[in-house]
Amino acid sequence: MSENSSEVSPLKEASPESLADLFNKDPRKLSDENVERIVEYFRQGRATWEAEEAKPKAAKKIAAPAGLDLSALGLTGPLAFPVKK
Amino acid sequence: MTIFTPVEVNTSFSTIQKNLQLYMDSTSLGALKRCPRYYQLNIIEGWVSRDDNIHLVFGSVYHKALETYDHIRAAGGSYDAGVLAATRAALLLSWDFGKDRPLAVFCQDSNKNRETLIRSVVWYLDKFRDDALETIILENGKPAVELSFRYKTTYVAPTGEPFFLCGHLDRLARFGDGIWIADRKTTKMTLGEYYFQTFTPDNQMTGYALAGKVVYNTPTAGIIVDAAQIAVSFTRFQRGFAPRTDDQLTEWYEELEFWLASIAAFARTNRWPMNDKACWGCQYRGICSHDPKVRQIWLRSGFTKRMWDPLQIRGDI
Repeated sequence: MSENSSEVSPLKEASPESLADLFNKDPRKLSDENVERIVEYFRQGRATWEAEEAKPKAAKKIAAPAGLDLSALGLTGPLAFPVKK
Repeated sequence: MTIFTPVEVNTSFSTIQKNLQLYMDSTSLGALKRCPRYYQLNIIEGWVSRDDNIHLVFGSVYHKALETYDHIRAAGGSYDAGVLAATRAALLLSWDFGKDRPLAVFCQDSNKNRETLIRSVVWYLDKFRDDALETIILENGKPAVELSFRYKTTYVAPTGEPFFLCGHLDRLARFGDGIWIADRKTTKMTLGEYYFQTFTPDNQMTGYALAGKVVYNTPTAGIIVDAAQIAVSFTRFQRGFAPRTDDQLTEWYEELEFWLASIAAFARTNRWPMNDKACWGCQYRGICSHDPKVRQIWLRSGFTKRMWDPLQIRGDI
């Protein structure tokens, strides 16, 4: 056996295929376990989405658009043009 | 306007008058009711946009996958076996075996693609795992799923040939005390009251309800629509009801006579008038906006052709 540690041993266990690999593989070559992994992936996605949906939605805050200086428009502090009584 | 040029032999058309369709499905009849010019371009000449294609293919594969599940369950298979088979079916049907890659049509749309297809199948089955809808078992012992129907109407074309109604029902199912036609829909639209209102009145749904009574001799209460909103990051489901009374079905069938008489008249003169009050959202609006002399050029540059033969393929998915 080579002492070169970067060389991959033929005895090393094959790394499991990523989901993207499974998705881009001829589906006739997918085992039941492969398809179950795909199902499980989407189930997890649904659980995550449902948890997000269940969260109470925060009310949207209306903020001044970035870069807009309200004081320059005379809309903050004492009125720039006080109303005459 | 354009001259009728059939792509191949369309078996739903008359052999005597080549531009007269005798076998009408909901897609064909709906196109005619919408606009005769739309019908001519879409059904007779077969011009379709790319967008049209993904909706058809996505819906077809979605239906096929869920139908696989229905068959497994009706045969006594387990829930898990059904989900596995449906997922595998969706993977197989969305694959291009010649090019060893996903079908190109599933790689063009951010909402409707291979990933959102498989996701929608898995999520649908999990969502309706303990469904109150119970698939009817037919007298031959088979589950009443993916039922093709074709029946002769009492209306006859000027050629002497009878008109037929045809199509495909997803499923006959028992719900409560009634028997309903269950139909699955996919859409990008947000689901809600507005979406389900579009099914009453509706050409396809009433036609299906009538077919349930005529072909399967079943006192169907109407249609149950299981709608799937296909978004980029989620699929949301909602079930809606579109009941139909006998009088509504009778009214629809009686008025069919007028539509069939008009299609015969249009075919005889080969003139398909434009309903210019139905152009909003129409894929052919750009075409009809051009001078008649150049419309063929624009069609050839922006559309592809497919043959719409309801005796061969299913529509209105």
